[in-house]
Amino acid sequence: MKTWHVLAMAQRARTSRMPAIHWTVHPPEEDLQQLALAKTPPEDRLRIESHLAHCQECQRSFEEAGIFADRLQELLRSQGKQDQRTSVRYKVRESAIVAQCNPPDFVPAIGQVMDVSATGLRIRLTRAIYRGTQVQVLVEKAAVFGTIRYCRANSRDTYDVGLIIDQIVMRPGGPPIESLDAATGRDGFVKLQPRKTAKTVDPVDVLLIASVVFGQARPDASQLERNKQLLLDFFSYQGDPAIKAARFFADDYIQHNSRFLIMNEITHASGRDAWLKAGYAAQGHANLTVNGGIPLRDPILVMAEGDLGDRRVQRGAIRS
Amino acid sequence: MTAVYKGVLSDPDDTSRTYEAFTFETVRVKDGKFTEHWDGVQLAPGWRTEVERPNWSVSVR
Repeated sequence: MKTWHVLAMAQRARTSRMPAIHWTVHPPEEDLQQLALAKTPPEDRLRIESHLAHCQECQRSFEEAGIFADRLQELLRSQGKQDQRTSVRYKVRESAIVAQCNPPDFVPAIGQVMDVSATGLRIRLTRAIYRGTQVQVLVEKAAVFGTIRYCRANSRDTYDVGLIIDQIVMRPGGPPIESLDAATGRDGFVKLQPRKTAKTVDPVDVLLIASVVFGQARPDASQLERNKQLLLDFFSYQGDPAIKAARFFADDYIQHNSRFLIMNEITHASGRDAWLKAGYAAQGHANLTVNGGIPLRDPILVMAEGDLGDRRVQRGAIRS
Repeated sequence: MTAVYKGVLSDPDDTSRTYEAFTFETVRVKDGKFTEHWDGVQLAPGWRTEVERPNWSVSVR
């Protein structure tokens, strides 16, 4: 397992969470992940579960956390490793460049990521980095920005530093940092094990790369269900149009409705803004969404990608 | 993602009768947001004239 596997899944769970309006009353995402990993203390568990019972937004987040936990387990099992469902951290051995951002130190350290979770890293270095230092950690396909929470001296002139992740930036197109492995013997650098040049293709890795990092693969079933719910929520939403647009539309949203398209020529707006301005401009003048009076609620069918499957028409003759 | 909606509408030729009508809404979703949206709305004669009335520019800006 690579560090970026865990980071990518953590980031996906993080970014796919709907924006919270009253975010302070929701349990932190880390708590939901702990709950999904069955690591929540009993007293906290009751509190979170009671919140989950009535908060759809957190239910979705918890679902994401569950997917995250399950995928990590799949990955571990595929690699013949022990099921570590109760452990939030996953052991890795991977080169990393650690640069101190604040206070700045212009000589980066090269170390090894020892374990990784959705919220933190443990890195082995040959020099100490003090608690509270803000660092940037470069690993394969990802840059992690975090804050050092502890620094412990080991027996062999090495230090284990633990950092809490503040931000993850995935670099799907970035070059791997195999070259780091050659950077041994320099003062203050950890001697790293040479990386194998031949890589085996792990199907789970391929799936992760395709679906998690590039985000272009077919969504999984639970994602499709969430998308269906998104559509239902959109058409049942009765609030302010600007809030509705911000909640449901991407910046480059296009409404292909012919009436909206003509409105674009009038408002000279584009993307999400075009939908909003068209609505304001048409108010009291014309209907943009004429459908004969058919109410857009309680649909008789909601269909997602793949719901029809591959049903080929069989042609044949009945023989007596 | 496509949703199909059914409505029971009045028959314009015989208002004592109704008929079942259907419409659809299709959206493309990416990262939890709609990126594209199609539906069954059409232009009608005079619609462009309606929206291009002079006072429109006032209400837009």
